[in-house]
Amino acid sequence: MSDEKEKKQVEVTLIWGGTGESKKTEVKTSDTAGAVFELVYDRFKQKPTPEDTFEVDGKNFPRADFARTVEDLLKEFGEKLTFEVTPPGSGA
Amino acid sequence: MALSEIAKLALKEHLPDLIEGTYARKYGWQVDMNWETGLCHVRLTCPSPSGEQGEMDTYMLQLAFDYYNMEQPGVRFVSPADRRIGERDEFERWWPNVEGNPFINMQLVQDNPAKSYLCFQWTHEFKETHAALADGDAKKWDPNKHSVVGVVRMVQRALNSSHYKGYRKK
Repeated sequence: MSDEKEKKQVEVTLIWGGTGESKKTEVKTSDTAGAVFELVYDRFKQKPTPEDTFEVDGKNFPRADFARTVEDLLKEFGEKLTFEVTPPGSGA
Repeated sequence: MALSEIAKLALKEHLPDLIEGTYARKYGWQVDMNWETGLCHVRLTCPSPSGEQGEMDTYMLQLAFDYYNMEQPGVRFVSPADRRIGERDEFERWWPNVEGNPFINMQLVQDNPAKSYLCFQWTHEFKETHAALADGDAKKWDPNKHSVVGVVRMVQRALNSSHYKGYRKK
């Protein structure tokens, strides 16, 4: 049973907020949000910074929640998840 | 000001996302690029905080690309009706009140509306009025990690935040 859960995949959208570029990819439902956000950096060839901000489906997503699984997020946000990382631009 | 070849190349790469990318579809951006003047106008909307449910406020963002994309675009609000910067007694109608938001500040210059600007690291006006950030500073404009799409998105983010209080002046 746990193997089945491990293998289940869903399509999610990754967004780099600095340019608005988006890409679709498949992730496991057992993946953590933190792992999916790492995919954003990887796919858009960007480096993480401590000031980056994170959103899932357009809602602020704190680093403290990075251990939550995709399966858990599907229950809260629905089937079409978007993971967005925005580099810092404030400080005016 | 005529666009440089670098700006034209960058815009040809970035405009498709500005016109029909993820954010454009999500927020209903309407984009009008004038290649002769080098100015781009983006019509933004957001829920009106004071109106009836479903009522939307409308803004027109004017973007200039004199040094794009090696440097940030110029960004300011203009009249949605005729795209004028406006005179001192009228221009605030076309700027939003988003005081307290963590994304951008609005610097309004009453005596010279043309000098008003959006104050965050991704605007050319910010670069002109603030000390240069150190190389490696995560906020520094970088053509490899920023584009005009992210700039407009940051403005939209402020408009959609709980800090949005409507037009600065009615």
